[in-house]
Amino acid sequence: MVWRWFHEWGSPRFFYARSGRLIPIFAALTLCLLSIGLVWGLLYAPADYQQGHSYRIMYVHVPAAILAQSSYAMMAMAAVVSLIWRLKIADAAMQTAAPIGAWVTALALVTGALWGKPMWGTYWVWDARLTSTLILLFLFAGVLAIRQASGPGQSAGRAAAVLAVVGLINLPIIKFSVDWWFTLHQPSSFSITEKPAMPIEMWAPLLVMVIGTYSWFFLVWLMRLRLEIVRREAKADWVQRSFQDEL
Amino acid sequence: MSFESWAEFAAMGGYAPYVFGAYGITIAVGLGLVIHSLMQQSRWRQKQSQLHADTET
Repeated sequence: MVWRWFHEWGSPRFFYARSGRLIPIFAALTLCLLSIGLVWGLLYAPADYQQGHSYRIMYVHVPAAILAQSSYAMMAMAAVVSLIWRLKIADAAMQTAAPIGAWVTALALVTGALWGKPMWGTYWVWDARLTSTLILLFLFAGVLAIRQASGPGQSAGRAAAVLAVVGLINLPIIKFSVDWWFTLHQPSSFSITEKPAMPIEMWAPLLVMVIGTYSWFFLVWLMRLRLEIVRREAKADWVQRSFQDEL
Repeated sequence: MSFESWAEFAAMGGYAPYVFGAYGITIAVGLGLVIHSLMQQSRWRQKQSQLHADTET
């Protein structure tokens, strides 16, 4: 049952045909959640008693930082599937996730710097949390650069896939950096096991932003992955036919 | 709303450049990637329809 599912969705043709329906769903979800979250966080959430209004940067910084790490994990999972099962689609998924992840990581760093300046008095410190996040950006860029330099085809993507998997070691370092080393950075805002330290008026809009940001990521990833699939399969009959249908 | 007036909102308690800067960059990247993906798509379609036109004539 699982294997059949795996085989069907691993086929570029099947994936392309089925995934098209998800685009409008993710687009609507992203638009709704992010517009609600932005207005809620920027206008309606109460000011912080210590940080005043500057803490509102959290509503863009925390979702970007969470997505930066989980998009790396998703890219590395695609890399593992590509290495073990040699699925073409997994290699394309890894390749298309890399630039989005790089942009999101850059966003986490820039919004963090803009929050750091008024709160810590500096845009940047070379501490464990910030440095390991910068390394995450380099890992995304490295995977993308190697993948694009190695040419088309699943087997050409193996060097980049190996780097993506090796780079996974950086994720626990980012996660635990705030506990292991002295840092200016505050500990996690969300945890699955503990209640948030914030009141609900503050974390509810953050939760909306986090879910909306994930939805945005899947929307952009899917759009790019679908284009990459038809690019790679451009000569195939089903691409030619589906293309003519659209004209 | 946690602001008394639009002027107070625009001032952001003195943190306006940081807060609006962070939101502005985030919205720019978020919209930018969606628009870029759409442009890539339409560019590819254009190229394909040119190829089709070439082979038919």
